[in-house]
Amino acid sequence: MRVAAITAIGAVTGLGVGVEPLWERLLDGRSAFVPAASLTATHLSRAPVARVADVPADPLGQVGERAHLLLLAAAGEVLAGLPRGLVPGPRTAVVVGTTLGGNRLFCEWLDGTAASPEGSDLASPARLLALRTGARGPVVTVSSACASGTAAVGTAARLVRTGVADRVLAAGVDALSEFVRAGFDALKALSHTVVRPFDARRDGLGLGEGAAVLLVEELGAAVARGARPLAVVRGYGSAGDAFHMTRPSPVGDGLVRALAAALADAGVDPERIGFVSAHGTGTLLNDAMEAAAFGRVFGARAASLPLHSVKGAIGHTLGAAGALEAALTVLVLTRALVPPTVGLGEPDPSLGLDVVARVPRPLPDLRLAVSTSSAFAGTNAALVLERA
Amino acid sequence: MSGAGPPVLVTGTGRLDGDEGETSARSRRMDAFARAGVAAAGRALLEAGYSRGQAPDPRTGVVVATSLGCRASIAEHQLALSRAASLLDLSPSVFARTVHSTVAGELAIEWGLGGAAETVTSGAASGVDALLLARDLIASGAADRLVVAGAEGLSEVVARGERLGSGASVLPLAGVGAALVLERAAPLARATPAPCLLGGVSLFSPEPVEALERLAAALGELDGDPGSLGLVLASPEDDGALAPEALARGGLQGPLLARPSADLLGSSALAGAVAAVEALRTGRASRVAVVVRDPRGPSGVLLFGAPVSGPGVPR
Repeated sequence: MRVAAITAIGAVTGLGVGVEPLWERLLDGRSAFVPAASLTATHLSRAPVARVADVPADPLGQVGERAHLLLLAAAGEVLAGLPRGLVPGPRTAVVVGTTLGGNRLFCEWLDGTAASPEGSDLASPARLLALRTGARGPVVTVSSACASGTAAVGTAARLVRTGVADRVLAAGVDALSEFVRAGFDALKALSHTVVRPFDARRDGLGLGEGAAVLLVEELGAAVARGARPLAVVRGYGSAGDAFHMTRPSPVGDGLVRALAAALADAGVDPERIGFVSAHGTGTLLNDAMEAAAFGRVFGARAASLPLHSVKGAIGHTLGAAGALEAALTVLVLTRALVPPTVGLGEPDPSLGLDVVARVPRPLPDLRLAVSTSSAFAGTNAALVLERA
Repeated sequence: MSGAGPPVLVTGTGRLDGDEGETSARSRRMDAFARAGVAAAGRALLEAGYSRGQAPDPRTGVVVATSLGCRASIAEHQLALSRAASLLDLSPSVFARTVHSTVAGELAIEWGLGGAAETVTSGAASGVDALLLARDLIASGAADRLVVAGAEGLSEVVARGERLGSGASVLPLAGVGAALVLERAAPLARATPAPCLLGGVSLFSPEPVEALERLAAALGELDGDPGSLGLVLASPEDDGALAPEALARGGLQGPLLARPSADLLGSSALAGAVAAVEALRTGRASRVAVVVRDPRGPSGVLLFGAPVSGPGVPR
């Protein structure tokens, strides 16, 4: 049986370029949010955002679209540690999850500030990664709104497990733009104070941006080339709420089905899960929905199952979120430590969850974890990850 | 995406060309992309004997393929934003349509699809990836039945951008949708024979001759006699990569069964698949290859087999 292992991760977030700055600043409880007013006075939305302050330039000087630059920077961290010649060829696939692809460029063309929308399409980040790396297997883009990054990692694992590819560059990416900021604010989804996942005072989400790239390899091949596997993707599942296009099922129907599918795919009982990387946006409805779903899946254990949301620190990075959270879950598994949930001050007692807050929590016996996403249009997705 | 494995049955097909006057309150809130996908998938589900409005079934799901997706709604939101003096000038309902998973969400609600929900946006080859993903989900036992829908719906400004950006010539301005229902072969035995999706592959070669050679080689691995396969060319012949002589060089010399008159973008593969299934059902071919070529991005092939006879268990 072929096993999908994660052997390298790269990340770019508002907390910095690279996995280590992200991890260290999360352990310190740092937040990347800045007031919108500090950016420019022209924005319609005044809600705080978690912006990447210094997006690395394209080493080849060919790319200007912000989402493409974020992706290349995260990929660079992964590729820097790989032997030359490993990635090029037909046995390497690319799977990118994104909600908007090169949409900033498309909007600039609509506004008359760019001459052509060429390269602004949804598939453009994946194509760019394939062109730059020489990957010539399937080059796939998935776009399930805010579950896209989780779907990308799940799809990558499927390609490896079914023998279609020996290795996959799995990624999630999205860039901040006026388009999403004004849109989410018009929907009244944004917090204008502080993003507080699972907090009694939570009043909305905060937008961020970033990218994560995970190298998913066939475990045997990875070990044979001398790589150190970090974690194994044991299972993936997705499910529609079949309830409402913008409101989540109040009892978490879709998330329960996605988790059940991922656990069945992994062949793992819910009792064995020791950590949950939740979607945790900080909206009233999302966090309550998740609490309901985790209660149904994990039973009484949900009240003592360590849970984390990263969105109070780096914001909701949309299509990048699931991939970034999968990468963070890999770090939690390998380092047996959970960072505090930034923004959480007063845990909402009605949720009945054990959200890790204020200080990092060691989990020396941690072996299996889940990472979940829930999205507009009612799409939910879940990954089961195991320490390698 | 994937090669070998057990075949899965095609139990329903649906097509929609142009906005065919769907006027329900639900369809009016959708953009042309969503209407096309929902309508085509609905026809395929009806043909497969599925009925609307049941309790969500965790074993039945949806996979959507699109290239431009909700870009018409994206343009509508952005153009409003460029004129807006305050957030009150923006329509929350338009912004809510600017995710590409609206077709999957609408179908899940309307038809009670509680299983897998995926949206693939890999460009013209999206439908190849979507069908092979669906096939894997069924073959691995993760799902019993999936509706796989390709959908595009362009506004004037989006079509103008696409012509500028990709050089595409003839584009479907109104909605275009195509869908298949795939089902597990063994547990859901049927009296009527149904064609099967046998396999396929998607791959990326920026060089057109190499892309076609690799697609032909992949078909050779899936089928012992690729030279006799009926051919559905799902992409227009813009760059000559799918010209008959080019195909013959790759060993694909079978009869040409269908080719589109317009670039159907991310619904190309599903439209080609519907044509392939039609050719199998009418006996025009016993095995059909659907070839999708994207001059910018990944390309792919799908292999469909002859209708199986008897209770629905393939050979």
